[in-house]
Amino acid sequence: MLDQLLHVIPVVMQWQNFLSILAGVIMGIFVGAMPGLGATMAISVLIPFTFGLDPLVALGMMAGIYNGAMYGGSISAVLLRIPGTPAAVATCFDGYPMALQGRAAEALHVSVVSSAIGGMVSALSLILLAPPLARVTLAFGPPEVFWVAVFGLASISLLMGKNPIKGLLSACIGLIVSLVGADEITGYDRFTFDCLELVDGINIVVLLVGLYALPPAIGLLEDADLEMVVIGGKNLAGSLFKSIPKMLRFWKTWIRGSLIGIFIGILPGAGGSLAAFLSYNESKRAAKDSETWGKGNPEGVAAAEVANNADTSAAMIPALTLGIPGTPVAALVLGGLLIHGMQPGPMLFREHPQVVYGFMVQLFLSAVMLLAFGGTFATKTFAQVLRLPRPILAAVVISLMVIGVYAINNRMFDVYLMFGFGLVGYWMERLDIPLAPAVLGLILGEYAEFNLRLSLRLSRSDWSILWTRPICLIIIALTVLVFLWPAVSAYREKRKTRQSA
Amino acid sequence: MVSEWRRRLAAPDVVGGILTVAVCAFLGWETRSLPASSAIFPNMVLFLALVLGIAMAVQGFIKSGGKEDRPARFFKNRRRFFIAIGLTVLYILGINTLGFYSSTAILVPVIALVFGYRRPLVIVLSTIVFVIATYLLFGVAMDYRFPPEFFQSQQGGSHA
Repeated sequence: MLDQLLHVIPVVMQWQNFLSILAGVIMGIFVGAMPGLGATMAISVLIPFTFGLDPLVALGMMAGIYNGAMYGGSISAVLLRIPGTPAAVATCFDGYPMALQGRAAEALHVSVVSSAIGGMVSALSLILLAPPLARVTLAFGPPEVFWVAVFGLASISLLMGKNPIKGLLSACIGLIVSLVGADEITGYDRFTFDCLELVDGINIVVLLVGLYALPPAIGLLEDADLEMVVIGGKNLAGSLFKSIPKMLRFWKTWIRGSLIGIFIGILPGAGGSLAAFLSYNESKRAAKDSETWGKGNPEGVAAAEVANNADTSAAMIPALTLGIPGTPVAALVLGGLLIHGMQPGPMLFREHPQVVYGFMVQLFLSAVMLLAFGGTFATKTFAQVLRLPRPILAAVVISLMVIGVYAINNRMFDVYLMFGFGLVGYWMERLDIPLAPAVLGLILGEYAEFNLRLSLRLSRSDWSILWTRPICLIIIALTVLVFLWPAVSAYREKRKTRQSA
Repeated sequence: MVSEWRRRLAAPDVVGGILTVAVCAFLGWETRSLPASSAIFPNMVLFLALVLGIAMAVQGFIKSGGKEDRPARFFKNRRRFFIAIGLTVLYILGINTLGFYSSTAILVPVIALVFGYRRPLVIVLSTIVFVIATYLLFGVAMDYRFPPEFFQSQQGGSHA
């Protein structure tokens, strides 16, 4: 592992890779600061443009956007009390009162330093934990891989949304889309309706852009606000590096928040907002001055921001080793790997070590870069993002979506398809059907079917191969647990309500 | 009573569930002509989706009957949604007939004006900067070829 890391560091430091992380961080802070957009939309719009790029350059940009957007969300949380990303909700609790007291700069400085620390610790956890886990998963054969895909789909579907039925339905939508095109084994066309453009299947980028980018763009136009009023935006003076020594007293909060963020990140289906809430609550409970929390205590900002950034790289641990993303952004990164010809899962570390290790180092570097771009000048500049007219921003996003999708095959058919998926995405959002399971369904569909068919071929059509091997049984047991979890948590919730009544 | 039933049947989850069932039945019908090995996985997925569609419709129907748990409105703003979708469709169709840059140059100001933004200088500057930046980045630097502009010959894509 150390060999691979040492080998990859000079590659990551090449100017084009370095520049891509930098561009990603800036773009990430930009879109993260804009309520209604966020890392998922930014990465989905960006993915088509990475086709022609070296995989490390493309992943570097995604790493930058991911960490940048997590911090960017706190800018609007502090200045507007509107979290730019769902993970920044807990940042509002103390960040906005600080802005009202004329301490917006202090809040944003605490936010950027805490975000950077969370991001760095999370990247280190990824570097340390993912390679050993990947070695274990190398023992998996086709039946085990099939069950890992089922487990991944089940956990994302059942744990990510509020309603397990809708989560599973979303996964089915992705699986059905993955089946479109000629069957590689028999050569028969499936769900192509004699349309030649569908014979090669549906490119994952078309689905990603449609599902993740069109609904927020339409959402920007549905909202009546043309521009937002920035509160506390004038009080952004002050040096970031001069204020760091005062923050060192938050070291316990940073450690606690980082550990919570890493733990939540590894769990499939949890996410940055849960990590931030848990960290905020735990730190408040441990604080001696808990009565000042929610009224402008900078430690509250530190607790929320360190945890939501500590979740980012940790979410990549199950994503890279098993192909199970912990967050929607991790699902998009898996899509990014797929379009560069890399199948996420057990073989990734063996077949493409340079890209995987390089990506881990890039996640660390992007967290370090946050410090460089969270200074006074940068914060003032990014605060101006909030003043951009929303209709113009929506038009720009729609146009960029068209460019990216059209460029895949130089045909308008993909644009029409993307628009159709956009409407499906809007429909799913309005019905509270989570989008990430659909993306994972498309990523894992072909993989699951291939391994199911291979297992049946190996066993000469004996289905018992799927439940007689020990590792299969363990994964099946975990899958059953995941299926039972919503019922268990609903029961516990009811009991709690009854007890409190 | 009849209107209450009608209201509950029109709940977004019920409509969504019924739509899911219809799509699954249609796609299931399509798998008839496939050999068994090609059809087995699609049929598994479609069966699961069909069951989930029914469950979603039933759940939506029951929930919409509760006095406290009325279904949320489907559109945030129906009029704005349809205008936004209409303009996006016109833009996509316009790319084929007018060309990419011409359509984009029309889209940005039209969306801004239709949705109530009234600062002409900002609109004009944003449009010019965006179209030129797109041309330089994608047309020149990345050599993307989009459908030709209406004032160009129809042969080949615009070098842009």
